[in-house]
Amino acid sequence: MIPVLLILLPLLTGLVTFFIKDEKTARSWALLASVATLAVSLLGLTVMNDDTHLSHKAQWLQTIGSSFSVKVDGMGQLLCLLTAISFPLIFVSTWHSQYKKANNFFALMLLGQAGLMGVFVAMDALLFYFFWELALIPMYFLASQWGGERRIKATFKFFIYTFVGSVLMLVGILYLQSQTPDHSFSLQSFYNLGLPVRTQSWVFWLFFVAFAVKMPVWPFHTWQPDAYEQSPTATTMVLSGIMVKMGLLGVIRWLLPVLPFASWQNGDTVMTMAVIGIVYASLIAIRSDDIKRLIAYSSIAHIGLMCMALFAENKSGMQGVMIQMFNHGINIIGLWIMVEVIERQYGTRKLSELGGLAQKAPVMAIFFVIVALANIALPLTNAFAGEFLMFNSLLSAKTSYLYAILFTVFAGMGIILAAVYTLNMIRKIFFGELTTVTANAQDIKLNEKLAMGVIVILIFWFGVYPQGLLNITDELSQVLVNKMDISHLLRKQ
Amino acid sequence: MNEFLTLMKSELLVTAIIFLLLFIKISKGLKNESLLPLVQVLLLVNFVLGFFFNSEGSLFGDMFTTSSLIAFQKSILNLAVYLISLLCAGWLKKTQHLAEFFLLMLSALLGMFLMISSDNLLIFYLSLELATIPVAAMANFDLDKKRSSEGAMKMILSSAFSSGILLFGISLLYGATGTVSFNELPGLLDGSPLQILAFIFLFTAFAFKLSIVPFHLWTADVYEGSPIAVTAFLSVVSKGAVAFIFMSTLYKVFQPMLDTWYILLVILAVATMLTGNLFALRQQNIKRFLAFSSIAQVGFILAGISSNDKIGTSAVVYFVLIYVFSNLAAFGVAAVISGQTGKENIDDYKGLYKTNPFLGWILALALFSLAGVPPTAGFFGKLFLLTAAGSTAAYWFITVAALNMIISLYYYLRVVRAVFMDKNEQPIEKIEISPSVKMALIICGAGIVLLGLLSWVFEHIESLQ
Repeated sequence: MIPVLLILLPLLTGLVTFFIKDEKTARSWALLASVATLAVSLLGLTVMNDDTHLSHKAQWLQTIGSSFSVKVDGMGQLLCLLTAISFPLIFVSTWHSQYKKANNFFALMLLGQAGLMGVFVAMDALLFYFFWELALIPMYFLASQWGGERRIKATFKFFIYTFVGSVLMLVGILYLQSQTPDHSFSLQSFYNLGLPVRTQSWVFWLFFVAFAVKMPVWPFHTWQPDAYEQSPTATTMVLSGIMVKMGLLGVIRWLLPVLPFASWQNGDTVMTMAVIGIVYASLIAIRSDDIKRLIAYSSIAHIGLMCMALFAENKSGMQGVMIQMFNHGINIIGLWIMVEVIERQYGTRKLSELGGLAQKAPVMAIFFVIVALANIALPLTNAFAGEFLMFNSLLSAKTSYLYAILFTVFAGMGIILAAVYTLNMIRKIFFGELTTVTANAQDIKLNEKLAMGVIVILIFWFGVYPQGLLNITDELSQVLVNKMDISHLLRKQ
Repeated sequence: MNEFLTLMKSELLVTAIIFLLLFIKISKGLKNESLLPLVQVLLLVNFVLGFFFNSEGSLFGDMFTTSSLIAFQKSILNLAVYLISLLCAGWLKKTQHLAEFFLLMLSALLGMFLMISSDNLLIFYLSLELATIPVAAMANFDLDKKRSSEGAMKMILSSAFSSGILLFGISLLYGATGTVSFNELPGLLDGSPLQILAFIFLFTAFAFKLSIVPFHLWTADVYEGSPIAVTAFLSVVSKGAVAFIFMSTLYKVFQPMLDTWYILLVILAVATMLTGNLFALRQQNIKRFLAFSSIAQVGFILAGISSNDKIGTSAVVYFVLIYVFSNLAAFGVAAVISGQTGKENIDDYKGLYKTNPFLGWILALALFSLAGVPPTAGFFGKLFLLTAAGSTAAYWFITVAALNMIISLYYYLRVVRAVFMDKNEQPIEKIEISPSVKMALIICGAGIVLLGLLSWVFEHIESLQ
């Protein structure tokens, strides 16, 4: 019931939005719809928190072994909640942004939300693939219609990259389906598959490329800074706050437990790629002058760490990533809201043209600093618990001891570099001399204060009380880690 | 007598319409403005009646056979013809010989019906000719355009060549087995060299009609030269019909030679997809572009056929149904634009969305469906084809097919990009779309969105066998 509502509500309200010609009405309608979705998500988290409400199965494409099977598990709870919280925040914080053909804009945003919800709750591989693509198309149109100067080129690249990944994944899915005894696409039969060790490896790469493009992991990341920079900020928030989680979720739910042996075998390779990404992206972030690009690269670094922790293949990594997906989403949306304000009010995103804003916009400075510090996982902010767990997992990663140490050290460097570019960014925007751009700056408006207030509350709430998130994900991460156990396979060899 | 009426219902209906048109033409003749709606209504009635009074059986000493699956295939073709009559209304109203155009088109359709139903190589050959010659005349219908005549010439020459080869194949097969009946042939086939030679000749003829590589060379020129209504007819109706009979011939008649044609099919499928895709990458004219894209789509149909299974049959029929909607939507938009402005270049489509948002959306939807991107029906069509192929084929084949989907996405997206890009000094101006065209485009759009999601459509096709 709950997962079906989570998909249908944004889908139907989104379709309705296409026909609301008045801009104000469309905007309010979209906000209302997203709040309703949030209410459903909270219901699923609290009152209707049992299997009968959280799962649903209906007939669909039965002839080839697929079904409309959806379920909100622990990870699904967090990601659905993140999606449900994000959209009202995005709509409120961009309340004053003007869009041509606003009805289409909001309609596509809501359709995108429906697709994302579908990805997070799908328990059938075909359904998963279907929603995976469904989420992509609205984003493509959003970025190509309402984006910046070079949007056409950037979105083209974005679409092609992700499509290459997903088609390869489709081949993998079809292959796995043909290997199941009952020719079924269901997640459970994929889990029971126990594919021979030899075939696991190439199927692994078919899936991993799709997820790696989405996350993105170095060297599949090149679409990302362009797409983030050129998309309208509301879309960038969805892309970076929620959509990258699709890749991580894919790895957690559809890759590691399905192909445990190949995941272990290729773990070192993937971790090396991720760690290169962390250092590389952090170094570029330090040199970036454009705030959007800076945050885009910092996002690559953060996702890289999450990807590493997943392939450490132990419970603390798994759980750390799950809660970090939620927290990273909240924090980065907070950052984007601030960027949006800066860009709209002062007409620039260049660090070199900004300065001294703290004098003119103290409230904004406070919010920005809190979010930025949360982004580098300072204790007492929400990201700390997850980051701690992830580093913990790296040290006990399922690899040789030397590698584990090396990976941890380099990933740790990422944290230091993150502090460098984040503090540098704060310094350049808020302190120092006023520039011509910032001389007549004003503080943030009520709607932005509201959105940022909610984000800051969430940051501190889960910074002080991460147990709430840990409880939700505890059981699932243990189950998944058990599925990833390959000691019996190794003994056989 | 009654049996004759129900079994040959589709053919008789089309024949009746042909005679009606003939009488109208020779008695006094109606103006295009009143004739066209009349024909559209007749075609609609024809399409609707296709779903009733169906029965199974054969006639004329097993020369003609029909079943519910065959009736469904005919309905798909009926639907396509009806949609073409709606979509190309702009061009049709302007032609001087509207009645003749439909006479030719319906004669070709009649030929295709007989071809799908044929149970004997002789009637198959005759109906194939009936399905081909009128189309060549139709290709020449832009009487004042040189390219149109050129296209028609190329078409008639290549068809004559291919039917010569077909006839040669048939005679060899007859020489080797002593029969031309589809029911008796399988028992007499043992894969001797003479039979394989005969089979290859037959296969070549099919390959010509389906524009399978390396027999595709006529396609792009004919598509480009012909009026869009004819191009649409060629690429959807004609191809669909041949794909149906090709599949049933392979499955039914040449089942004993499975090993021979399976490998042939896989190799040609890969070659066709690749060639179609790589050539489509560089096309500027929208009709040439769609020609190569349709060649690539045929590659996917071959992949589905290669499964040699019940699911293969369903997947191909389902794919053709979806292909009707997707391709006709694309051709419909092209026809509207070309009819109003004469522009057929992809570069001219830049900024289309700004001035004609409706056409822009429909075209984008159609191209996404052709590319096989979910949630459009095209994805489900390809999915079933690949699943069918996956049941027998090696996985490198599926992977190659999937990689081809990527290449195709690249060029389809190129057109979508042009449509949604707003920088153009001379964008296509706002086009008034007549209600019937709009309705047809909406039907196509709805088909593209709904056909995939409604899984009972596929189940229905599956249950027909």
